[in-house]
Amino acid sequence: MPGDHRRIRGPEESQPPQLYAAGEGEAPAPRDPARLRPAKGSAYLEAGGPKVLCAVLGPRQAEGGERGGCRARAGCEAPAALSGRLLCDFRRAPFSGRRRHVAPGGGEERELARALQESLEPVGRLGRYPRAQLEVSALLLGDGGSALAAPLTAAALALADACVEMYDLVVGCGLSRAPAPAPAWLLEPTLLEEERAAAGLTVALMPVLKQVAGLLGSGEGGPTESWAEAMRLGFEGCQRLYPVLQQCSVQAAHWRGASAPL
Amino acid sequence: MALEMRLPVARKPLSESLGRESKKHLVVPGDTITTDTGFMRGHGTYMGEEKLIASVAGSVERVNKLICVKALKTRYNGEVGDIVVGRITEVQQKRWKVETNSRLDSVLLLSSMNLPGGELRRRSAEDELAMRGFLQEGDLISAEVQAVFSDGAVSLHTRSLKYGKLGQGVLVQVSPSLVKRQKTHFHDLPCGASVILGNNGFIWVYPTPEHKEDDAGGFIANLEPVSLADREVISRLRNCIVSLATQRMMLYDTSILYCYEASLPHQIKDILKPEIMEEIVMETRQRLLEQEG
Repeated sequence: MPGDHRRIRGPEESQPPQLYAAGEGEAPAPRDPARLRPAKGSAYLEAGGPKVLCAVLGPRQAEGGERGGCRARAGCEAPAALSGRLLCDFRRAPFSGRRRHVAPGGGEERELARALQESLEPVGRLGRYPRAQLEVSALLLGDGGSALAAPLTAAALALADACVEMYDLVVGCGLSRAPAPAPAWLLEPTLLEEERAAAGLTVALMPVLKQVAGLLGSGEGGPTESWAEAMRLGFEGCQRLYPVLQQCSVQAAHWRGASAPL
Repeated sequence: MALEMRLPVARKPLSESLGRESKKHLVVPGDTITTDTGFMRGHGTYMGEEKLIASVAGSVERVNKLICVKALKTRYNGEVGDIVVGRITEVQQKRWKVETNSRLDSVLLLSSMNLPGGELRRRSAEDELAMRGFLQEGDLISAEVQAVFSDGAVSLHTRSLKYGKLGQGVLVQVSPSLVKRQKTHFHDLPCGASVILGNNGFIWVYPTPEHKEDDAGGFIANLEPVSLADREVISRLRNCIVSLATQRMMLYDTSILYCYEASLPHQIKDILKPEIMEEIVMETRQRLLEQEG
C-alpha cells in the first residue's frame, strides 16, 4: 500500500511547550529573519509565533495538457496559448496548535490554500511558462497569529529561491481588531489576541510596485474608516518587513555561490 | 558497515572558499536594476514605471547595452543540436515522452528513431504496436535535439548509431549551466571509462565498450557483468563529478580528468567529504589555470 505522505507522523499525545515554560508576559517575540534552505525552491520563516515551511516544485509539465495533432510539427502554436498554472496546498502540522490537529482539517485548509493561490497568481509571470505548472505547498509548523500572512511571505521567498520569474516579492501582514470598548487595530497579533479579536484582516502587498495582491478579512463590520485605517497599517507593516526579506534572499544567493562558474 | 558522523558545523559561503574578489550584483524579484533607459532588457527583467526591474533572483550581467539577470537555478532550455540524456516517462501513440530536466516534457517521435539494423523505411502500424519493445518507461536514452517548439518543448531524434538506449552505467544529475558546450559530448577517458555529458545536466558514466561497431544501433543493452576495476573507476569518476558540481565548476572532459587524477591519493568514499572535496577541486582549478597559460 503506498505510504500516506500527507500526514505527519507525530506522537498520539502531544502537549504544547507553553505548559512547561515559566510564565512570561505577552512581550512580542524577537523576529527571526527568514532562513532559506539550500534546497530546490524552499523557504522557512519564523515570525515570532508562526513557523512556516514552504516548498516550490516546478515549473513542470502540466497534467492533462491538450494533445493537439499539430504538436508533431515544430514551430506550431499551441492551441489557445496557455499560461502556466499555480497549484497551492496548505497544511497544518498536528503539533502546530494547542490541541492536536487531525489532518485533513476540512474547509479551513482549503480556504487558506485558495487564498494563497489568489494572492500568488498576480505575482508570478505565469505567461512565461506556457503549459507548465508550479506547485506551492505550505506547512504550518507552529501557529501564532495570522495563519495566512506568514505562509504568503514564505511562499514568495520559496518562489524566489526556485528562480521563478516574478514581478515582485509579496509580503503578508496580519491584523486584528480587539473587541469593544477599545477597538484598536493590532499589527501581527499573537494567538491570544487573535482569539479574542472581533475582526481580522490579512493584507498581501507587492512593496516595490505598491500593488495589493490579496486581501482577506473577516469578523464584525464596524465603520469603513476603521477598515481603511487597518489597510493602511497593514501596508506600512509590509513595507517594514520588505528589507528583511530582500536581505535574506540576497544572502542566500551569496551563500550558494551566485557568481558564474569558472 | 562503518558509518561516519559529524557534528553540525557552520558552512562557509561558497564564494569565500573560492576566493573570488569580484562582487556580483545580486538581485531579488522587484529590485530596481537601473533607472537609465538607454539599456536593452534581456532575460529576467521587465520594464515598470520607467525603470528596469528584475524578475528572477540571480546576478546581473551586462554586455554593452544589454542587461539581463542570470538566474541561480535554471531548467534546461533546449537548443537545436544539443546532446541530451533523458529518461522515458510515457509511451504514447507514435511517440515517447522523455524527461530531460526541462520545463516541459521532451518528445521523441517514432519517425525520429532509427530502426534496428539501420533500415530506412516508413514506419508502419506494426512498428507502432512494437514501440514498447524498443523503449519502455524508465529506459535511459541519449539523443540529439532536432527542433524546439514555440512554447519551449523539445523534440529529440536518435538518427545516428551513437545515440540510443543506454546500458549499464551511472547517471549523475547536475545543473544544466555547469556543462560546457563543446564540439563533442561523448568522451572516452584514458582512465578506463567513457562519459556522455548531456547539455541538460544529466551525465552518464559507463564502461568503455570493447567493440565499437554496433549493428543494432543502440538497441541491445549490454548486460554482461562489469569487472571490479572498471566499477571502481566509474565510482571514482562519479564522485569527482559530484564534487566539481558542488563547487560550481564547469564540467568538460579536461576538468573531469584532472579531478580524477587529483583524487587518486584518496579513497573513493573519502572524496565526498567537504574538506577533501575542496582540496581536490582547488588542485584541479590550479592545473586548469596553468594549462590555459
